[in-house]
Amino acid sequence: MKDKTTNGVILIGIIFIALISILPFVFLSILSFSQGWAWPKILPNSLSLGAWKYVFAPTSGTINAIFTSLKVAIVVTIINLVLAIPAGDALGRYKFKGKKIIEAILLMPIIIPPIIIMMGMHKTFIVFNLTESTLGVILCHIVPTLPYMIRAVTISYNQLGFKWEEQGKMLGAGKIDRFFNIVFPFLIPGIVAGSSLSIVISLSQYIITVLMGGGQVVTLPMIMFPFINGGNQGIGAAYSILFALIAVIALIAMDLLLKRYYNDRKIN
Amino acid sequence: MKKKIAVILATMLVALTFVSCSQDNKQVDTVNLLDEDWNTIIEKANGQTVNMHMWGGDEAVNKYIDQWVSPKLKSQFNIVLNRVPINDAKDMINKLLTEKQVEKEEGSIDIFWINGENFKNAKDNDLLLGSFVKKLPNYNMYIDNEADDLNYDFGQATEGMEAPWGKSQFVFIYDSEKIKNPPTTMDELKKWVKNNPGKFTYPAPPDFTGSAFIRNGIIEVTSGYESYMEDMDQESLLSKISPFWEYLNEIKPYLWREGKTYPESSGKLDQMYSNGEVWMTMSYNPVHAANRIKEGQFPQSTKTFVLEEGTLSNTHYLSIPYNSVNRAGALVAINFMLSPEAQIAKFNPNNWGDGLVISTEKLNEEDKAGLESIDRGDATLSPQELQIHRIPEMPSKYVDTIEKDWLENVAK
Amino acid sequence: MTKLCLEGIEKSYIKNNSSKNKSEDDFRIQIDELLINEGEFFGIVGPSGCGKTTLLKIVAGLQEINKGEVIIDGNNITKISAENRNISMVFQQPLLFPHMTVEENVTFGLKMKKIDKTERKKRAKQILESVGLNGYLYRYPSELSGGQKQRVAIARAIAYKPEVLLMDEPFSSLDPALREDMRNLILKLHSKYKMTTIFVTHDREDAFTLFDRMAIMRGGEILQIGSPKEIYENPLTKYIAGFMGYKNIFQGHINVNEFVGKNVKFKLPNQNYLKNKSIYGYIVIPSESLEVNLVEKNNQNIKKMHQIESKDYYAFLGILEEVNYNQGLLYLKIKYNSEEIFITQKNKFSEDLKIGQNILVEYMPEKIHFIEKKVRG
Repeated sequence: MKDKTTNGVILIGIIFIALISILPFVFLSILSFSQGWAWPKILPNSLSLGAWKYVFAPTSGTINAIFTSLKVAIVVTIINLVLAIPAGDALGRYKFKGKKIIEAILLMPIIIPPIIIMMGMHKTFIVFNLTESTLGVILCHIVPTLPYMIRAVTISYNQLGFKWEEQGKMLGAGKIDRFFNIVFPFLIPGIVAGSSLSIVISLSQYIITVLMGGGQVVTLPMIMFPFINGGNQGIGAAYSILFALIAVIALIAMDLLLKRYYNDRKIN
Repeated sequence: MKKKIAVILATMLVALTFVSCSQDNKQVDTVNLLDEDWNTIIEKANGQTVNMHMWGGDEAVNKYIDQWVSPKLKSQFNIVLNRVPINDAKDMINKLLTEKQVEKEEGSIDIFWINGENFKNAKDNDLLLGSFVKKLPNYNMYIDNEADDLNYDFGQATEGMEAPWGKSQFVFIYDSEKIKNPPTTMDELKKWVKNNPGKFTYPAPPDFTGSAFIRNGIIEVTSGYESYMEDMDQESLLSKISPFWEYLNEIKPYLWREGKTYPESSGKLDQMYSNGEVWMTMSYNPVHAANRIKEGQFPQSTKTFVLEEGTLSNTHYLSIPYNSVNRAGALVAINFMLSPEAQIAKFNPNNWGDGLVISTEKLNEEDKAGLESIDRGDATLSPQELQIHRIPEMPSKYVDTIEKDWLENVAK
Repeated sequence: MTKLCLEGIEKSYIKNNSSKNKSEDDFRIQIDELLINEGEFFGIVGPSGCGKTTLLKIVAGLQEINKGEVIIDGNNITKISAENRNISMVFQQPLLFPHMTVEENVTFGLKMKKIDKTERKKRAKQILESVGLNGYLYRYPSELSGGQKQRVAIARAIAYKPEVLLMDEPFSSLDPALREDMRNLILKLHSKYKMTTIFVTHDREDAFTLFDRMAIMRGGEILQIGSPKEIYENPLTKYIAGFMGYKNIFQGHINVNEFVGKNVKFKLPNQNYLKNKSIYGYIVIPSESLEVNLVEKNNQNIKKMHQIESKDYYAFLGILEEVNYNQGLLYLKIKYNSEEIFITQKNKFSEDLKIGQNILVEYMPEKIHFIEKKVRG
């Protein structure tokens, strides 16, 4: 008896969550194909492809923006990986003086809104001629994304501990061999988690891209936000769906790449 | 093992080269450009890329720039126009402020689309290139240099530092089936509302349109727009506007829902109009009604009217920042956008449908005919009509105070 | 021939930074000298916390030392890092790399030595056969049972022919039933490959089955080194005796021909050197050196009973407290005065014994071992 009720409740819960997740997309999809739709109408007055036509028109700059967004997100994630691995090692496995303070500093961007950090960085970037360049945008995207990567990799290293590398040492493996054969496969779950966040957060950045990129680096959010923010809602909806799709595709691609490479099936 | 290291390093190298290829080469024009003659400026503009930063949320605007203006600038002047979509004009101002602070002389904005509060900030903080409109031949030829509604941006003197680009004007929208003779003054409106209880209301501030209706009413019911151009303190302002609260409170019981509640947006008011609950709505866009009719939202009998003494119009402008790199290009591009060709194309609802800043009397016969032939819909008033009955906006700093005071004196 | 030599090893560390209870939280390991022979199966035993794992790690190179030297085949490897010592180690957990097949795991050490692929494959097959896991080449660790995993770990450790094989309680996480199989496997491997092996355990069964020689550790020091038999017959301290499984340990004095404890007396063979002296210490009596005889209904035994006090008859009377029968052997607990005596013997009785029965216990005085109680300096 109890089991049936619990199962029922769980089932309802799952359906509920699924609905909440899917309904917004259903709504956005309808909105992107609609012409003339306002509350309290349940359905739009008419359907049209106008919004999507605009989105994919060559002059709208959508395709370039997508490439720029992806380019930045991928490079940012790679840089984050390279930085987070030694950081995660130190934070996840070792004790040292001032560890708490360093950890707090590295994770601060999670709490402090990027715009505040950017205001200060902007001046420095101008001096170093990094504004209005893709490189500058990449560097400033590192700020809100790196802490998540560090956090995820730290947890992986924490679980790894030292015993696996000790075993590796006792089989004659030097530092590099141990890293690629033993440590890295263990880090993969953390890397996947951190990279997912890094990609999504970078893709979503708006204000810091605008500030640092000075309009020379045009990402998808830059094209998208004005429409969502009081512009044509249908186009805003179309861009939103496109954005979500790009993000999901990027995540799936990354997941497949990493997992295929290291045969994740068998890691417990 | 080594293969894997190689792959990773290779990826990074590729990524980095990808990235470093995007540094711009910049050549700065001299500041004394404004002293040069126009032909020299056109020469200098040849081959430049002009970065135009503007709000990106209107696809009609975007299309007009991308598909009409850009190709022509390229073919006629060999200028590449790069449209940069912006979400909030304030962001541009903040960026320039920081650049000014560190004395960055090479900026990434050549033209920006601006008005009101943002213009004031830019001007007060020396973020603009300077007074340039007199340099533009089309400005001198086609634009009324004396017009208050062009020379004053929400009460702030432009001093030639921003070029008027287009206009919006506040219009009332009504159903001609139900209203045979629409009111032409605020007084007549009051009478009409009392005779037709429940058929009129306005969006509550801070909705943009509702706020405009109130400002419009204040100006007509109190002493006219000139007196609001002066600087006055809060107390004087409040005492000046209070007669209009009497007006609103007088018509309150005759409003929709007896004025106990107001629609929170113009969109909502439009809805109520389209399903016949109220017989009037309003908009800051003269073409709005025609668009709605086309979409099937408003009844075919919909028409628009303005007040005899004028309705609020605001101008939007193009300006050049102090650290623009491609100034010659910027000047030439702005000048082109003030040309009759560009203005009339912009005016055409098939492109954008935005109001003219050029004076219709200054056009040649051909252009005048072209203008006439543009069908902006039966519901839309002619540009001449709009031009005659227009008044400029009051200073932007008063807007907040007025909105708050409405809440205190009328809403409650 | 000496394979491994540890000299003057010292390592201490303070567990907490707060120096309040310094002596309690300190850990110190101190080995003056330990020599292990080529091909020997050497054990290190002791209670938890005695430092045996630390010692193993010092040999492995995983633990740094404050003082001392580690020498293999005459070469001082103290400063050489673990991965370059050519020593392998099997831990309590198999630690098989989860993303590699059994074959890849087993040949990992060979790969690190840059042995080519075909050779590696060959060795993998050979070694897996030795541990009884043919055909498991392409399985993944997650598909194996605990015992199988540990076997693969052992195969991996010896596949690349290290100088020394270290094992840190490798069977302690396995079922007791499995342990016997594993011990046999290890012995088989040891006789086949003849590798110098150091094996750490706290299990006595391991000690007696596997080791050529062993060291008993306590508190970071080695107490005694010898073959299991030697140590069993001659434990140097009461502690070691208890560790080796002695249950009959009594405190008291030995005189010329007897031992006098608090409540017990045992006759001993003549210790002529003692003359008039007596030495204070402990005796340990192996449980299997005592024999139990029934007194009731047994005329022979009753006669013997009357001889208890005679000089050459080594026996005493007691009362049966507990008896357990286990696979043909009897485990008995006898009350002798107020002390408990533990006896292990073959079951020669046709009837069950009754608790509370009078028992005649015969003992072998030459098997009684005396440990002098040394006053700690």
